[in-house]
Amino acid sequence: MNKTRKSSSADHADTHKRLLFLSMFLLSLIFALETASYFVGEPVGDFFSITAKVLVGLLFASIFLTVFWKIKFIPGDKRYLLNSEDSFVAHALNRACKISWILTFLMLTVITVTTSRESSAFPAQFYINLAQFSMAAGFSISFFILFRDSGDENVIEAVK
Amino acid sequence: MNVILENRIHVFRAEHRMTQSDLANEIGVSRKTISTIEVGRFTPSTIIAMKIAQYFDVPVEEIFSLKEVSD
Repeated sequence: MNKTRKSSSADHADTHKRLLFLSMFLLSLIFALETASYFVGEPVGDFFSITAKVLVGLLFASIFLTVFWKIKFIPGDKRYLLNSEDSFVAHALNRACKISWILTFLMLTVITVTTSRESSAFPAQFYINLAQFSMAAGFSISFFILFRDSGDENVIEAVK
Repeated sequence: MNVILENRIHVFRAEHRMTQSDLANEIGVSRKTISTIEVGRFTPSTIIAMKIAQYFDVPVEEIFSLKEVSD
């Protein structure tokens, strides 16, 4: 049996969403470094700053790749597949969004309850970065878990 | 009583000597969508279910059926 096959536009639309997930994951790492920089001193902070710049470069590369993938592999009359809800990848994206929203809401609720208005040790920007990290990380990690590969293609062996 | 959606897509694929990719291409979805429907990880929309049934030229009920499971 020939194992090589040409990917369909629907398969390319799936890959496009996986690249989107990769961009979100890189974004979450940038927010994680921004948030963590409040806890470290100068030498480590400088290292975080350089790492964040490298990650921003990778983020732009992954965004470029995502756009390139769409233009190169998904013809105009098949672009509707990118917004179609009729696929497993769209289902996984919706669930990942829901999970990240719940996690972020719970985290912000805990922070609101445990931090008094007067005694907050961090500036507002810290909490904004933390929320952005939570949303991006929650989304990308959930999507990765939900969309993990279910194995090789089920090749037909038995025929009636 | 809870219900789950069972399917016989792999049986029909075997009868037609088709891979998941072949069927996915025929009905305009990704291979991942077909594989996750087959193993029950993804409940297909009515549109996908009807496209599959139309492709194999059988009623939807011959491919998809509801099974009651205890909670």
